[in-house]
Amino acid sequence: MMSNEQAAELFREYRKTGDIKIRNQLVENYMYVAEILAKKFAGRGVEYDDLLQVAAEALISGVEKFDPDLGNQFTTYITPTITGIIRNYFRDYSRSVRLPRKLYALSAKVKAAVNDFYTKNGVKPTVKQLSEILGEDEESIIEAMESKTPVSLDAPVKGTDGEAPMYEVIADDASSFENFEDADALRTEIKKLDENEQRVINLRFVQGKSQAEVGKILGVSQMFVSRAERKIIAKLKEALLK
Amino acid sequence: MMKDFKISFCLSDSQYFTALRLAVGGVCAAADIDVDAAEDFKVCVTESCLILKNCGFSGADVTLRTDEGLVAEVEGRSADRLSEGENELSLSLISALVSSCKITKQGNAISKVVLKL
Repeated sequence: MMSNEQAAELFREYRKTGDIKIRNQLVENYMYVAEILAKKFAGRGVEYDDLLQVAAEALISGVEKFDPDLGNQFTTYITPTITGIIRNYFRDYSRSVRLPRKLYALSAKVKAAVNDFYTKNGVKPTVKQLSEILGEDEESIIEAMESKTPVSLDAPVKGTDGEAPMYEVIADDASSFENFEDADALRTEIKKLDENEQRVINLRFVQGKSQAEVGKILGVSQMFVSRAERKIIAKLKEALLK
Repeated sequence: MMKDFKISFCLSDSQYFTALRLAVGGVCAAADIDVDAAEDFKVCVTESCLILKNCGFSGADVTLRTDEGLVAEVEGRSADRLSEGENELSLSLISALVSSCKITKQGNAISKVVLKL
């Protein structure tokens, strides 16, 4: 490994000539920094090799930009640069659903501001107060608050009798049926269903209740409602497609 | 009342570093710190312990406080001979991850690191 003085001399030469061989020599000399930092961030859900690649790219870019005559050692300059790029990489790629970086950062700020406000005032802040504290518009605050916990629609949810995917237990938007070309035909077919089936349809698609809620009202399990719903929809589809 | 969480351990045993990371993670969770910031803070606390080890300390006292944000005071304990050590990279890493880092020296050697998230 070369001394700081030797490295500074090489950096000067590289800045003067742009010789790629000198750049590579410097990158090889400081590759240990990328390796150390990649190891520090390993075990957070991203492979070490991926982190090393990100760190190495940041190192190359740092070598290309570094000016030894600005008074810093290269390691002092490059460590926060690589660290920042690795952290951005985590934010961008290691989440189940990718959130815009600004939104994610604001979400963390909102959380901190809520805690801070609560500590000082003993009550939780309103969105308006958060907007004033953080200097962000109210809509962004709300969006950031909503973005905290992305959940997959396929994620299993435990019910009274086993697991079901999230999309089956959340309430449907009542507008789901709006696109039917022949709403009258649908109404007619619904009227032909038995009383219980009509009740399921009313609770699920008119009142927008979840399968679990419907189950509670009718005194049956969520799975029972799920099966009944599938049967009713199949029956209606068949009738409408005749 | 100030709520402190204190850990004293031997720096020569690497398994204690794992125990330290777990404890720091637990305090971060109790302080409602988001997961990324908690991971960063764990790196900084263990890195501070490595700095003390590099400087010649054989043990460390770590105090975690949650009364003014999250604060960790990492102080060296028991040393036969202290030296400056090579800590530039560790200090740069810590500076990049926490909002403030104060160091105290005994001669040339770092004897205490105070981190604030």
